[in-house]
Amino acid sequence: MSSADANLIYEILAGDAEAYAVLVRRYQRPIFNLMLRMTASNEDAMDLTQDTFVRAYEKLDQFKTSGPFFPWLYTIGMNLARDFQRKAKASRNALEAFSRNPDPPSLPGEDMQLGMEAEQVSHLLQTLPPDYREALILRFHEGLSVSELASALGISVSGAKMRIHRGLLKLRELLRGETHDEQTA
Amino acid sequence: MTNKPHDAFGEDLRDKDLRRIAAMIANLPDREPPGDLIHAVMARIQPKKSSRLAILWRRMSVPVSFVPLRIVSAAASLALVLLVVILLAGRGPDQTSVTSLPRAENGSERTVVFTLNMPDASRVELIGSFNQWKPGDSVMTWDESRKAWVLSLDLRKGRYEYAFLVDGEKVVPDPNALVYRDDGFGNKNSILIIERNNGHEAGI
Repeated sequence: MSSADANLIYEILAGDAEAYAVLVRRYQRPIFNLMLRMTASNEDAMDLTQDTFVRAYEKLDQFKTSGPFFPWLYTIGMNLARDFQRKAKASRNALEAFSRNPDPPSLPGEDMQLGMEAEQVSHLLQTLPPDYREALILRFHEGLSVSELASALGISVSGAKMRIHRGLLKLRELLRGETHDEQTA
Repeated sequence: MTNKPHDAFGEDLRDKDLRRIAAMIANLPDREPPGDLIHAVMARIQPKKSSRLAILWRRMSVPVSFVPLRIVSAAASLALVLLVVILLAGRGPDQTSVTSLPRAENGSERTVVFTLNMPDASRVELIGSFNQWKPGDSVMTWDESRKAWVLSLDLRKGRYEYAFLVDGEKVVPDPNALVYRDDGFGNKNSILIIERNNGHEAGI
């Protein structure tokens, strides 16, 4: 864990609740975007992001300060998001919301083999199972190491590597499929 | 969180297509969280009650990493201050008005820039725990280019409470502070926390 995070956590545990605002500000963006991906709803994402930080605060004395804070926080967020999806069946709703997108991404130029527009990748990421999608996001978007990613998702390092690799292969397959569909349409 | 795509690619990504997909994921745009999220979280938590023994045990059970304080040359520090001034000039009213930078002369202090966008005021002073709430010690100056009252202070690591004193009589909390505390007399103080983390931006 970074010394900055560690120092803050000591202060929070010593009774300085205001110091927690620094941690919230530091990590609110990735957690909020995680919740957007999990719920496809601004309102639900806001609620779940709040819940994640409040739950993390409540459990902070159980946090092992020898490890990094962000993967631990992410695990709490993932668990809350999964509970939410189970209860509200939001996963299906989220996929439906994305499939109703009236503006499909446009085809890239001929020099792009896979038609990899950012919008297209973002859209297709939503069709991946959350475990694979979040592995890819944590590794490449948030820049976590494989071991930090494994910790965040509660899996082994070899399992994390496998998820990254399979997730990428699946995404490539989806992109090729989309490009092929567009070309034959 | 800090390693971005260029070193996120492992050796298993020899395939050009996979590398490009990974690069796309790295560059996906993030959505900004709502501005009131921090306030909403802070309103739901209470200070923790922890025994001194437990705190001491936690501190002792963690290896302390020492990173030498970064020595910033006077020129580099000036450039950083100018950069912040430029950045702040383009800020909207919804962004924090406090920015902190490491001081050139002493790495344990940070230069904190306070700003208040109140063009109708004729005089604004900064009062707070860092100047014993004494009016007259920290008078802010109007910066026409930024359309704001501005004052820089060098502060050590710690938590400070502060407010703006407008025209010598009206106490105004920083509208963009992340955390506030009731002063018990009907006013709201803004909270500023400065971390000692070796030169990285750390104020709220």
